[in-house]
Amino acid sequence: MTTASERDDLPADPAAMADLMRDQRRRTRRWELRPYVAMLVVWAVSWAVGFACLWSSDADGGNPWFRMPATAAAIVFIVLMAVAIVVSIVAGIRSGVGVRGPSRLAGALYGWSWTISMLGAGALLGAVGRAGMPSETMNILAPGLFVLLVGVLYLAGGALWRAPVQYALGVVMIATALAASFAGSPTHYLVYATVGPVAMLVVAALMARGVLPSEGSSR
Amino acid sequence: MTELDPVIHAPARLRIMTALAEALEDGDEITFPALQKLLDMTAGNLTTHLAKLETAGYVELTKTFSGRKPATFIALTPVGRGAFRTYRTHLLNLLGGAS
Repeated sequence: MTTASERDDLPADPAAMADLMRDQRRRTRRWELRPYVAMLVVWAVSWAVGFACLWSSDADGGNPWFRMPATAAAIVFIVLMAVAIVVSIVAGIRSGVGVRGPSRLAGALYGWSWTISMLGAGALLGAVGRAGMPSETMNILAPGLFVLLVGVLYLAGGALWRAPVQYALGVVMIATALAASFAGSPTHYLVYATVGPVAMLVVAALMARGVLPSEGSSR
Repeated sequence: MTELDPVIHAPARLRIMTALAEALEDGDEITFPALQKLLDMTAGNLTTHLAKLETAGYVELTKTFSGRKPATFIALTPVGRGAFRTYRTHLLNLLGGAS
């Protein structure tokens, strides 16, 4: 079976081959997750800065050290969220480049579920606002609803791609939405500015390392 | 002791099979440049090893056009996926038995 051209590619011992296999799995995982690492870092920064601005707003903020004009805080928040959304869309498009087939469909449907859920949440908030929900309640409900949905979508993504780390991020996001909402305004902005970004950065770091869904087992 | 599958039991081909099994679901295909990047192999080396895997029926190469440029898509066949699983189990059993 061995030919001259194969001689430079003779198998190493089984342990070395097992290492090679594990390294390649990690490498593949990193390659698949790379667009999402950048995306999570951008979201972490957007949340940290954006929610910190809302928390520092001179209208309804809670920052004891400094305050900024409410309009400026709102603008910074909206711009940062818009930038993060654009980065996410680009990451979503880039993630499947080079692969075609059924998993592309799964990825596309999953990508659309973000858009549909977020638009749905926005419309729902519009409806309760129109029905006369007071702005103090809206300040709690709006971020809480969006973050809850983010958590749910991460749960779904984690299940879809057998990625426990992503699933765990979903659990943390839902817990963050609840903790922040129960903390009430304006402390909820501080919770979103700190807990959310830390969780996202931890997940981004794990993804960058190429964490495997079932390390050591023989899936 | 039975032999490990010699088609897979070579570093380059083991890496190719691992990457394909990890990156592709059943029915998925990956482009040649994407696979090359994923493996960090030269095009010539990758072509050589893919040909051996294709002869064994483990991968399927589809040549097509994306616009005017020729493009090659690589898929892991069900036989290839099965062979990779068997190899993997075999290898891990071997290591488990040795230690």
